[in-house]
Amino acid sequence: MLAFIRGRLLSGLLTIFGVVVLVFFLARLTGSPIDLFFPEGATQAQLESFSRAHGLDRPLLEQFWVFLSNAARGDFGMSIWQQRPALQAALSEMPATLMLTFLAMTVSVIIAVVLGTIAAAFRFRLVDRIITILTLATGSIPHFWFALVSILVFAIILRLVPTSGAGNWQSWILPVATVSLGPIGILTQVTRGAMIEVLSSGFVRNARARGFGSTRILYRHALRNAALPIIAVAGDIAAGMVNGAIIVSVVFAFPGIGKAIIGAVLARDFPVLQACIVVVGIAVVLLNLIIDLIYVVVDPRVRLS
Amino acid sequence: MSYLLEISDLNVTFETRFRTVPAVRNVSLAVGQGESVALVGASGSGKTVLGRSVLGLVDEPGVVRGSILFDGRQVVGRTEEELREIRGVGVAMVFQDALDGLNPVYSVGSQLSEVLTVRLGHSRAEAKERAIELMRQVGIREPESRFNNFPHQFSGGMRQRICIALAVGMRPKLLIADEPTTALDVTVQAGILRLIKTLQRETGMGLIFITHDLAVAREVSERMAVMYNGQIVEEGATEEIFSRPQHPYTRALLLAHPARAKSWRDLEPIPDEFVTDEPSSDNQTVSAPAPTASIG
Ligand SMILES: Nc1ncnc2c1ncn2[C@@H]1O[C@H](COP(=O)(O)OP(=O)(O)OP(=O)(O)O)[C@@H](O)[C@H]1O
Ligand SMILES: [Mg+2]
Repeated sequence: MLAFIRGRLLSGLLTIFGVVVLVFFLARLTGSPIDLFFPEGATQAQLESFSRAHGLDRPLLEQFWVFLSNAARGDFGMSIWQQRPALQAALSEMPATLMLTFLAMTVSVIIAVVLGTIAAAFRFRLVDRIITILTLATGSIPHFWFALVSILVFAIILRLVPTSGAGNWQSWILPVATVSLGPIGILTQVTRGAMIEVLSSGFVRNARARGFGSTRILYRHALRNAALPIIAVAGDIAAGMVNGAIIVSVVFAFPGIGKAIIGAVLARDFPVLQACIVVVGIAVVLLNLIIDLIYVVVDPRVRLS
Repeated sequence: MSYLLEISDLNVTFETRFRTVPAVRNVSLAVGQGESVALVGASGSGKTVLGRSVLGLVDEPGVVRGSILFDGRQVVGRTEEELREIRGVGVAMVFQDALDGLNPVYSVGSQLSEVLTVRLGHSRAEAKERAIELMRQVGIREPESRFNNFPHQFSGGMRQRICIALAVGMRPKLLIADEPTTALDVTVQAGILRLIKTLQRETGMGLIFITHDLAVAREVSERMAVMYNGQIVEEGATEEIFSRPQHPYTRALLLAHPARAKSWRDLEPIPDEFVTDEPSSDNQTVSAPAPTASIG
């Protein structure tokens, strides 16, 4: 068990290292922050002192080495634009991202499991058809379109929720709905498929033959067995949300790591960009580890190795 | 005399868009309290479907017509919710394919306890005690230490025995055992047959034992019904059928059975006209030429 966790963390660190290397060099291909920061007429002395202050005057490989050795100690340098450490700039955006991911995943898993189970229990009947069509639709609606239309309808016309920001709880509704939409569609179909397979198994037939009620059969006997594929897919989706939720940050001006990454890319704020990537990487690695551990709890046949 | 189970004019058909498969045709069969009836017949003759229909477990696209009286009450046409009263505590069934008969994510002990608490209203402590007792009865050694093991930690034969424990644990009035030993090796097979007979003697339950093995049928049953192509073609006292088979199919079955032969050269293959993979949909009763060999 411990060996498994250690192995997973190690391979996770390797992955993060690889991504950071890529980001480090790719970001510098886009140009220098100097071009953005100084107006046309800036003096050579100003440019040089700025370069020196941020280490931009050194050879690329040396910059990389300095970055690596500092990062190993948890120091990602100062943000170029914000007067604070890059790591702090990245971390301060994480609570909103984690909260959004958590809410969206909770909402979509609950809705999808209920809908998928109903669809499987009544497969090929009318309810099943309706659920399938609806969830295929939500799974394929473009996020941008949904976000814009929902702002128009709920925020501007009906004035039920604010148009942007993350001030009060109402402002979370549209962002959570937007990022849940796709996952609800996918997870409902995954649940339905897994449940249909489980419901035709021998042990479900035996549970019926023993006179158990349908609620007990569906939720205690079938769902627990259908949980593995649902968890696997939900895990992937959650990892994607930690990564992105970029639409939400753009359309709803919603805080989060997505917004921080976009900001850092546009402003060529390399230290913040690198810190964000590492923070997201660590979050994703931890998330995957948690999902592996949930597997073990849910299915006794799963062996960690 | 009122029977424990009285099946009359039962028809089960599977109606798909493309064709209709009559799996059980005009079957009538009665089982008394504590009686053992063997149901024999070749693969596809409708034995399992007949057994399932007693529990109301024939699913779409299967259609059940006719009458099944269990303990004087009609089974055919009842809702899933109404059938729960009968299932398990009235009629229990041990199914043919035992390998996925247990839920893989719960320990064997918790599945036994679940039946006892949910269906018999035992307390948790009582249930655990009885579950261990049941495991011992079906021949699981050191049941206390095996209680928390999961199905994948047991062999196929052990899992089948746990399924039997789950069925008899509810003390049903009728046990339908659907080829419970087919997947097991001969040594285990004898043990399970003995176990079922012992449990039957102890609890006084009726037994329908489905098998295609005539030697097994002879060992466990007082009465025997021979199924062919969805119909019961012969029924009577087991010994009577063995010594004086009336129907040509029964004679063919007896001739084909290895237990009667001293060498494989003595075996008669089942005549081609009896070899069916699917029941034919014509509704006439079976008639076939009598086999040439005489039966001793
Ligand atoms: N769900 C179903 N849909 C369609 N046809 C079915 C279904 N279940 C059973 N049948 C058909 O009913 C017939 C009887 O099947 P059944 O399983 O009762 O045979 P059996 O006598 O138990 O055979 P075996 O000895 O191999 O177990 C077969 O022809 C089978 O194809
Ligand atoms: Mg069968």
